Amino acid sequence: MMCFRWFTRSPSTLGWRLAVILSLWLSVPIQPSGTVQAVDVYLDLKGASSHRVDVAIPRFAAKDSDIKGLEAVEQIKTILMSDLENSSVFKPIDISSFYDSSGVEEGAINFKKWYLIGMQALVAGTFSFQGDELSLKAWIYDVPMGQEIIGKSYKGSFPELRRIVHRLADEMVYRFTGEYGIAGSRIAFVGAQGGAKELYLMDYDGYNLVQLTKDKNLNLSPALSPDGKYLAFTSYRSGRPDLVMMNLESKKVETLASGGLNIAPAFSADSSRIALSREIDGNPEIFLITLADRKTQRVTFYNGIDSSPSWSPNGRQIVFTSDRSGSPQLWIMDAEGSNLRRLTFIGDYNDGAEWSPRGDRIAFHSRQNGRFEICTISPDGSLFTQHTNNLGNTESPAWSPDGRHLVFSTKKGDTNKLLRLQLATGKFYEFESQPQAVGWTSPAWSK
Amino acid sequence: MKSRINVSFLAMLVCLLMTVTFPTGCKKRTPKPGEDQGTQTPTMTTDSTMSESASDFEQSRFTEEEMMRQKIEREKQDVLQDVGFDFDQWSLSMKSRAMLSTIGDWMLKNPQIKLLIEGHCDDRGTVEYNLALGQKRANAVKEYLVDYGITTSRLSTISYGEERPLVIGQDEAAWEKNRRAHFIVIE
Repeated sequence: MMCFRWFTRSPSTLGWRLAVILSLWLSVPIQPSGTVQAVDVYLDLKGASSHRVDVAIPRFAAKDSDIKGLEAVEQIKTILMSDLENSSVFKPIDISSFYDSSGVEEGAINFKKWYLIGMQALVAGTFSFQGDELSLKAWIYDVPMGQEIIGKSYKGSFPELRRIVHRLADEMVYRFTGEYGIAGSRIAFVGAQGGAKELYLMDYDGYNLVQLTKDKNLNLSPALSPDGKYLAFTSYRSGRPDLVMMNLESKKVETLASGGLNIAPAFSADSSRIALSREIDGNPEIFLITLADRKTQRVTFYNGIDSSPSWSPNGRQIVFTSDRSGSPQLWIMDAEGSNLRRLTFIGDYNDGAEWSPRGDRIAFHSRQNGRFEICTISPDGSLFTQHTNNLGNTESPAWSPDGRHLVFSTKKGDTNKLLRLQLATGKFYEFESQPQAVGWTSPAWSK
Repeated sequence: MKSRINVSFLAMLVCLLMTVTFPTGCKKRTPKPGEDQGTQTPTMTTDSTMSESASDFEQSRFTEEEMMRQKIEREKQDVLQDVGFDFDQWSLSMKSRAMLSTIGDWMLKNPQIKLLIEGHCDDRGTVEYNLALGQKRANAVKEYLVDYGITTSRLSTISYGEERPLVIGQDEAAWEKNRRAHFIVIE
């Protein structure tokens, strides 16, 4: 199908396509081997991402030219441009001032015109309203090949416009990489309100902010299930730090673990198990809970602190924080608790590990020069990389579902805020929806 | 010889004097609000005399309990001071052990007292690790008191990590105050 077409490209795009395939293949977790292979993976990922697909976005055509239609035209363009930029796969070119989507519905595209101005892809569409219902049709084109890749049709109410455009952007990423994009993903986090800490959920771009808890108590340590359905967190609503889980659709909350201290939940990639740090007889240890039958299993047995676990994407290993060497460091073990080995040897305080969904990097915060910085490391312990510098005190990194972004909190002065780092470009983005004096921390990110 | 006899005689005299001026026995009945002090001349029957001395007794027992409670309140302030910790540590210093010995003694003397031990951290570590560290601090304190002879069931622990600082500030003075185990008496 498309794969074969891809290889009959001109050399530059051939190289890019190869790199994309390579990076997809290498998203299978690397076995700790300490070979040169690990270095190549890291460089290739960066290399691949820097060859982004130039995609032209002409103005979408409104079937009705009333106020609603004109508003929608602008919104569609803004959201699509932003989503495609964030995908790290595309370089969107806004040509809406010069070109519209005329001819697109009839399939009459002048591909040569687009090719001559250097475009590799084109997305165009039309939409109409029937009362409050929006109907959007979009077509994605491979310009050099002069072919339509796919046409999609979406329907929804006007308030769902953002969600619809996100779906279109994700579809485009899927058609070009074989992976679904993150435009429809969501971020949960802790917001400080008075002396209380409540949980919030928002679209990955900061829109549609929703407050999930209103306990006027402490709610900490949120973790989203990879299927996007559940939020696990530590709640003091009973007066004690319990592990609870909220169904994000029904908003119902149930208790998973109580008694002692229950913190730092982490879902396995198939959303079937939760690892957490639980103290019940003197020491915080890593426990696993199988959600189907609520059976718990203890997997660490050290007389100190074991905390902040995170699963490898294949569910076979867990990275966590332990102070068994004398200071908080990252350790890796098999999920059952065997084959323990230390991962970090630089710095005196390494914590908050999050294993990338791609499997090849582990993000964490590391104390360097008295301040915490966001760092990543390979699962075999090589390529310790620092990603923040002089941003303030940065903590709690969380990966986007595509493993191309990190969201984390930063504190300069009094207020905590969330920042997003796009690894391919090294650019930092703020969340403009954050109110001034409210602190946002402890983000979790899933689809 | 003469002076010695005089001293012992004097001592006896002093003791005698003390028993006269500081009589032990029933406490004075504290007047109820609205009552005139010392002007009431009860015109009572035998029954009301009995009931008055019965309520008199209850009153004084109530007052004793009240005074006991107040005594504990006062002692609590002195004895149940926050125990401090070094940065990133949950071990007890010599000073902390001394404080905890005092608390241990007080608890042994007051067997009805139960304590909730809260573990706290300064905000320089990370949120999750500090929750664990706070728990280790509370546990270290509990362990010491259990070793001291206090029954485990009288001691419970909870961690608040860095979430409930005592002092807001970004200097060593503030941080030191926040690294603490704090005690709450629970009946």
